[in-house]
Amino acid sequence: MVIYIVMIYVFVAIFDPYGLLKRGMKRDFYVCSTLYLISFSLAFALSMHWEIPSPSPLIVDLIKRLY
Amino acid sequence: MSKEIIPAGQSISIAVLFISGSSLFMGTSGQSGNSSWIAIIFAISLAVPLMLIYARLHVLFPGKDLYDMLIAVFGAVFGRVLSCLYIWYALHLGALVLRNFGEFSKTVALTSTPMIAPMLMIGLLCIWVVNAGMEVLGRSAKFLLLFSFIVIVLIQLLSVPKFEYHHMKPLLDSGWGPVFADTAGSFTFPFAEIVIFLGAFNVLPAKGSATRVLVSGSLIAGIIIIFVTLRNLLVLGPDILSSLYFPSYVAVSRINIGDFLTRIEGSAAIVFVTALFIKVSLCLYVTCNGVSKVFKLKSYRSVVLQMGLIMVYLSDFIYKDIMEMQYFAYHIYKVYALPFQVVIPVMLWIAAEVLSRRKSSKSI
Repeated sequence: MVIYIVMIYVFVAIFDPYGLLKRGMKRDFYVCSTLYLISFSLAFALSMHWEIPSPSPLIVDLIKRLY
Repeated sequence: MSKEIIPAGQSISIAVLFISGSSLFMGTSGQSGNSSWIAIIFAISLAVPLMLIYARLHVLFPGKDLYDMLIAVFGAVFGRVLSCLYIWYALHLGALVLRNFGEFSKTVALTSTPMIAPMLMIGLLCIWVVNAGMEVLGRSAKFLLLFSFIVIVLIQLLSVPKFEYHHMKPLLDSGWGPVFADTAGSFTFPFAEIVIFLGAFNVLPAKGSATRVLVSGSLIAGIIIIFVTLRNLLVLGPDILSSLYFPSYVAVSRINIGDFLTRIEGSAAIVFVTALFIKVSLCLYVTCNGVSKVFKLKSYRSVVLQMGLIMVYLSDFIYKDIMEMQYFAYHIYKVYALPFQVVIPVMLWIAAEVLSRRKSSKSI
């Protein structure tokens, strides 16, 4: 699964952020690349079955403290 | 690139499917048992003034979306901070809705399939449609609303033989307290969620169509939700209704016309998927639009794929299980969503009114 994810993301990198750079949209390229890294990290972690901390307990805790 | 404009009719379709999306299969918050429909009526009547406030923002800032308004009123820094909060809210809401669908698939339809597979399929479809533009989403919504409406009416009619009217009695058995609690729940989920649409106000025609879109969208969606809630209540009864995660699915599964037309719940589930597709697509559009405004990008399309994938992954790890999802949706969400749905928009509206009056008095 991890190998598939890496292969898919190599293709996505050529198609998405690099495509923006080729079109001269530098600012879009930087933002897209950052999001690409986040997206790839999440996909990699999910494929490795690593536990990713969810924001829900934080929100629940905050709401319970408020009310 | 030319500016995208979607006509009021298509915007209403988006609003109706957006509001009724999750409620069609999750139901609404249900502590009040057989009086839940009263809570929905109260929630609609509370939502209408809020819709008028949202629509007033469109009059004050024609052709601008929520992010433009926040930056124009609160300044570049604080406006961007608030914009980031709305980006998070839209992303989170999209992930929650996708997760609802994932849990639905895992629990009742595709029990052996990993939850991420159906969520990823819907997510990719949403990425595709948002990349194609809001006009495509508007046209899809118009067609899908008609289709959903026909299916809902058909199911409603087929359910009539299964109605047991004694489930309606005794009305207000547990008093007004649970009804008011449910009113708050139904107000934030699903009616006031339409605040997300403010992030797409730039696609509405400049002349005051927002009132028509938001008010008629809320009323039509409200009527659909009341009918669906009443059907579920009359078929299943309040006790069974409160114990189910997806009451509509079970209520439709009870339909049996002459031992011939049975088990049509799978076909009925297509309505949930269409409504959910529109809801997630709008959330994704608003997220991407927000990112493009905050970071001054040339086009929101630059980040659609990555934000869509992040939304799908977020939906996978946002809850541990269906119980956590249900608890969040019915107990936490109504407090969590209130600042986004009421507090910030009302602050924005008051500030915008003050600014526009100052501007007009200066020009005189």
